[in-house]
Amino acid sequence: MKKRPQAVKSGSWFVGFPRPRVGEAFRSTSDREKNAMRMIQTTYGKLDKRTSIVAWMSSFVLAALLLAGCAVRVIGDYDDTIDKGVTDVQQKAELYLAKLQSTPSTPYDQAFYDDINARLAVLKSRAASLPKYPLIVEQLANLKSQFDKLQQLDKSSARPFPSAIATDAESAIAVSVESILKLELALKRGQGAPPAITKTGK
Amino acid sequence: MALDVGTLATQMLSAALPILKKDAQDAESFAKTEFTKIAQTIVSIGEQVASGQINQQQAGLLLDMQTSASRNVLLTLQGLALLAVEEAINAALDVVKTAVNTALGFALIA
Repeated sequence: MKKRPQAVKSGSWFVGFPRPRVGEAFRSTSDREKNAMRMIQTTYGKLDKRTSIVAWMSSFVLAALLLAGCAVRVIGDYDDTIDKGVTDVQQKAELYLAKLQSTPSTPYDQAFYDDINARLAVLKSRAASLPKYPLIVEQLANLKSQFDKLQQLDKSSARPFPSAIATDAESAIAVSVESILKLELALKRGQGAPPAITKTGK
Repeated sequence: MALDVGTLATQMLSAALPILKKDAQDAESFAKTEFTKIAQTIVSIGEQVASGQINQQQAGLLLDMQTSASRNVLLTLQGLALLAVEEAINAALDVVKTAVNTALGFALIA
């Protein structure tokens, strides 16, 4: 008794015939059926392989063309508010430290640190909300840490305030600010907005 | 004119390399300046402790501030490196765009 191969489930692109597998023997007594299945198996196998290669090559070419039409952005854009904000923080710090150096008896001023902390918190929030800005977020955190250390020094140091501390602290804060501004200004990329995504990309 | 892999690759490299070299020099110059300042301050802190101008606790806090400054310099260098790579990639992609449009004879990629 002939045993016909089972059909595949509906939805298969080759409905009605079983998907031939390499090495599988079909239980068919007819030579014609055997030859037919062998032809289908060979054709199906070649088509499948060819289709796969063509699909991969097309995807690669398409991806290359799409990528070639787009500008790559790996880091965020310049932000004027952060630029000005960090500069303002430095100006306030310079003023306070200059006062400590010119008048070493100047008492500890909590209002100064409250003001600086508030400004840095706002700048950090802004940086955190901007895309691709994690480096500057971290830099602002480091700058805040420096002011925390300065506050500890200021609070714990007897008056007259050691001028060496003011000088060293000023230097450390200046390096941090210069680093932040160096990166921020570099984000201008020398000109205005980046080129828009081309028609092939969208 | 057909696209040639070797030629295209050479053109892309020629576009990208000068950018990477120039930006590396800029980063080096910045790093040298800032690390010199940090080094000078660290040496100064040591001398201040030795001379009794500041105590060890104060020196520790000041050194912490220098560490934070160093971190910020390194973060800037990291950012400058990312910018350099971005610029180089975009320059190389511009070469691809030109080569494809030239080979096809029309502006497939605008």
